[in-house]
Amino acid sequence: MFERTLQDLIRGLRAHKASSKAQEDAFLSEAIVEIRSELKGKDMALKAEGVLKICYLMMLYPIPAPPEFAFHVVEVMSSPRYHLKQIGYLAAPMAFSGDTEEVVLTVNGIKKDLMSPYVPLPPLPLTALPHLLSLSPSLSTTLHPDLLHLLTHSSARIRKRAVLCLLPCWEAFPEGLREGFPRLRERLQDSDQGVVGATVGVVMELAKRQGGKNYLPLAPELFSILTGSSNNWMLIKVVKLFAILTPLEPRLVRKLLPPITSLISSTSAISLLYECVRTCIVGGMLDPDRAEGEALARVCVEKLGGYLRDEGGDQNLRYIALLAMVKIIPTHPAMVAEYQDEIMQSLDDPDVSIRMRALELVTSMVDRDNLQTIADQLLSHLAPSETNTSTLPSAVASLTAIANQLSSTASKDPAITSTSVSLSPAYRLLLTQRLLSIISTDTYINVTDFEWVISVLVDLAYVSHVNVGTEIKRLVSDVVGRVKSAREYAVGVLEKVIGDEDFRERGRSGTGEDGLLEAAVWVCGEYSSYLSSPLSAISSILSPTLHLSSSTLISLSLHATAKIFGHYAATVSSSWSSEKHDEAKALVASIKSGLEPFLTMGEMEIQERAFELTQLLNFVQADLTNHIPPAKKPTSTSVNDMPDMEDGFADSNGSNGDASTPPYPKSLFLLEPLFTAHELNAVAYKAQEAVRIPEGLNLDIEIVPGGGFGELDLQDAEEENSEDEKVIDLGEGGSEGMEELRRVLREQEKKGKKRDGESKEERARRRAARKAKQKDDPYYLYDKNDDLQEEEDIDEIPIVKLDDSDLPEEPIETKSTSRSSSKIKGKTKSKKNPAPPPEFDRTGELPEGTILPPPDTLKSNQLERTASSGLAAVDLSSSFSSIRGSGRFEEYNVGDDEEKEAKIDDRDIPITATSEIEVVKVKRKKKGDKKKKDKAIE
Amino acid sequence: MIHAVLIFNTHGKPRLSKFFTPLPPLIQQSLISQIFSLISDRPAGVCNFLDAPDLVFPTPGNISIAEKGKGKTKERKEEDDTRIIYRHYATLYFVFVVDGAESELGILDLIQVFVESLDRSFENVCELDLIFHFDEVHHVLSEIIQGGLVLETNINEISACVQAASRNRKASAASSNPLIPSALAAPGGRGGNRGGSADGAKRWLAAIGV
Repeated sequence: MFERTLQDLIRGLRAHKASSKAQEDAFLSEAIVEIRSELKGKDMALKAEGVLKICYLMMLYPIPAPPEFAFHVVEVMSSPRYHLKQIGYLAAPMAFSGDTEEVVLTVNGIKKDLMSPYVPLPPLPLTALPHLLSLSPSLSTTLHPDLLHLLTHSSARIRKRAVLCLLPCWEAFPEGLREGFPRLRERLQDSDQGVVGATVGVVMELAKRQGGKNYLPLAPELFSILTGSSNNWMLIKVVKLFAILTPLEPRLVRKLLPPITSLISSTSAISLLYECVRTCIVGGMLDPDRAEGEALARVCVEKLGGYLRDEGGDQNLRYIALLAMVKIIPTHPAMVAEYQDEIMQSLDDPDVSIRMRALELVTSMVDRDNLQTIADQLLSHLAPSETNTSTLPSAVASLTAIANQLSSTASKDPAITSTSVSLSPAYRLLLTQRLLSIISTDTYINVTDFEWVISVLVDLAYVSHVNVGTEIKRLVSDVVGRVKSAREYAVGVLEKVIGDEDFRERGRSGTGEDGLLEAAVWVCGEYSSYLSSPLSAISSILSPTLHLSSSTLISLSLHATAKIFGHYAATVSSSWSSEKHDEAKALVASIKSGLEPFLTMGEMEIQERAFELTQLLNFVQADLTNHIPPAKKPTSTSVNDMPDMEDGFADSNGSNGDASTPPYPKSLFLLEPLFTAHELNAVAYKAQEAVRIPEGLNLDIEIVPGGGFGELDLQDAEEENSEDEKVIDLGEGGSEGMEELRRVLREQEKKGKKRDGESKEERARRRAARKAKQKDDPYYLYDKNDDLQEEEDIDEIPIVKLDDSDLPEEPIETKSTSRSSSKIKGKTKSKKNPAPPPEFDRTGELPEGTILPPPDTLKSNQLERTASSGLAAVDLSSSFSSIRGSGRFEEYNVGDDEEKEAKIDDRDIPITATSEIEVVKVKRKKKGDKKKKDKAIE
Repeated sequence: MIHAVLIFNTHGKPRLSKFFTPLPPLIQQSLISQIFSLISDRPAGVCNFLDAPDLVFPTPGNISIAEKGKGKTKERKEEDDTRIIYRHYATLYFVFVVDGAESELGILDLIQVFVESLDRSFENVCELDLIFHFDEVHHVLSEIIQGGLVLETNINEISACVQAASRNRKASAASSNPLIPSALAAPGGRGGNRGGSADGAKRWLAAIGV
């Protein structure tokens, strides 16, 4: 049989690529069959070639590895030939996955190769080891001593590879870090620059993964690299490493400032310059309290701004400038604000990477002055696509009338350059989310005009074409609830939205437009007093296509209809006339017919609401039908399709129409009180927690002792009845039926009072009797403890009124205006002073007398704690004491083994003041330990 | 660290894929095609950094194998850190997937180092070289990056290592094949190799059943 080499295989594949797909597949499967037999054969060279071919094919095609591929790789790895072994080690990372047991088989081979005196051999396993170590923690444990041994190998090439292997090894075997750390430290002073570079890389990764605290003691070595080395790559790494270390040790800043400033001014490598600038920013070196910090910040921002301004220059530099500016914003917002124009331009960049960075930067730049400009520009990025899809000519037309945001800038040049990017749904989603978040950030702290917010939200729902419905719904109802002054405007806009049949249709596919609709329906219902035309609002809410919508929207719509009708009916009574009478009758009829389809709807809630409303309307309709309007008496009452209700109202209105009864039917006031009993306000964050348990209320006590079935039912019923009487104000008059009802109610009330009047003894007696009965009842769960417990009387539980009046409003106006005016001073472009924000409810409702606890940082701390595990949990600070202990960190070394053993499990041991003593001890013991260790290794 | 090094051509055919974080092969391939489609969409003259909102690079990163399951939320946060840096040379894209510990501009330089090292070992490297010497490309890469960390950035040192390794390979291959006169085999490094030429010949004879 003739065996193909890898080259032959590749040639074959290329030859067949030109022909049909089927032929290529046939060739491929043939080749795989061949390779399988090669793998199974005895010839090691063929096997190795087969392994290599499989690796190649697996890179190109989605084929699974042949069975026992890993095993063959192990065989090749153990071949004594260098070139075959290399193939084996090359294939190992591809062949082994987490669950292959073959890794265990390789341990001895790898150990042998690592320790081989033949210098070219150890690099082979070292190349593959990082992958294998991360797969198998046991391998790490076994090979750890060997790796440490290799750290002092005579060949620098092996030393640096060994250093790099330590990272995955410690990752899987965190305990090794304690033993290996001093050895790693020695490598920082290695004679070979490559080894030092590799060590710096490892320290950087370690510091990034477990926090820099353990690596602060390395600062002197790192500092000497920073001042002594000329290798840019290494300098970059060291500078980046210091960015992690300086926040932990502020005194480092003073030491680092001179070398870093000199690097910034002298280096020719932009990459290094940039990293220095970034470290200055991230490492907290720009402390505004210090004079040089401010100057340095100025230098940094100018460098970055220079990159940003460099039009037509390097795009990469613009990208990283934006990246670094995000970091500097929190401390020096004013300096970045000088480059606002450039940053805004970057939002229009054809490069999506730059846009995303600019977007991030812009979101963190937002303040009260620029919110509207920024938001409008973001919105204009979403808008152009609207011309492409153009499904909504009517909506667009009406919207441009509503909102003047889509001004001329929207359709200018960005439309040409950015349409392709704007259409990427993920980018649109990101943009929309950012836009929503800058508006709502910190409970609308930057918003000055809430009507504008409403219009932006509506626009967003129309043009974003991404699914942010829930978010928009939340914001719309939140804004309307909090800001009383914006309600009228909101209702006006949203009234148009609910009438937009095209928009409804878009929402039906579940793309998020429903969110705005739901909010609109709710707002129009809740604040129906602002509706320009309740009649048309009702007809558009109960649109003929409503039954196609989602069930949430339907049930909201039904409820809103009831609210609007309730309000309409109450208002219309003030100017009652025969025209109004006709109008009301027609309205009731049309609502009823609109409800028709939902009476048979499968959804429970919809059906219930539809029936409820229909019954209430029946009531009203009957009343209306029998009512004779004041002007034209006999004409209008002709049709009567509700014979059963006729008895209820006919007589009272028809015959008793004297001067004492008002000129309008009383049933007009049936619905409104159902919805207006309590104004809905925003509830404060933590309000629920803040409700204090009133004194004397013990929540652990059974409210109704003894399970309380019989008695409870009766009392509940009474309470419900009396409540009903209160809520539905039946008023006087009405038919005989009403009289009857009132009589019954009164009697029941009396009965209840009688019950109240019962003496305690009587009640106790009754209870005892009931309990005795229950005892014999096999179906009743009888609690034996009941007898022993002192029974609590319901009536003895004090009823405490929970007061829910609003907290006094925060005086935000004064604060905010002073802030914004100070900001304006700094700007040359003087804008018109923004109006103080409209009064709105920022905090929301809270029970009276509660003080909001400060937002606790505890939670995040805890999260961090729990997140640290594995390598991150290893804390070296317990053994090599900290800088804070004495100020001269050069003297410290890793503690002795016993101490380490004891403290391995301790996480986050605080640095103690007694560390000085520890160190002395450490130094004495260390030599003995080293000897021990060396022995063990040999 | 560097999560992955990829080379693919302008048609999306992978020429090298090296993942330093263990990922199943199928995910690797889907990532390659995802990254390719994103990169190939980008017009000329834009920056070398790819920020794509819809690309999620799964990085087990700093979570040790044992805690992979509960590390999910942490992983989410880390995503933001991952970025893709690429360069376009003739018909090939060189793509590095790195995390925040790497300097963006530094990686761009590193790509240049990688390409120059390839150029030295292949002498005027072109796509065909990479196709037919897929293993050699891996060897060059292994001299620059090991386990996701940078091993060496000096081009001279890199190419010296690559050459040394290929000499060793040739010597070893020659010693295992007695039909090639030993004069052609490079002399160095045989001493340490336990399978010397004489030994190799014997084994070879044994293998073919003589």
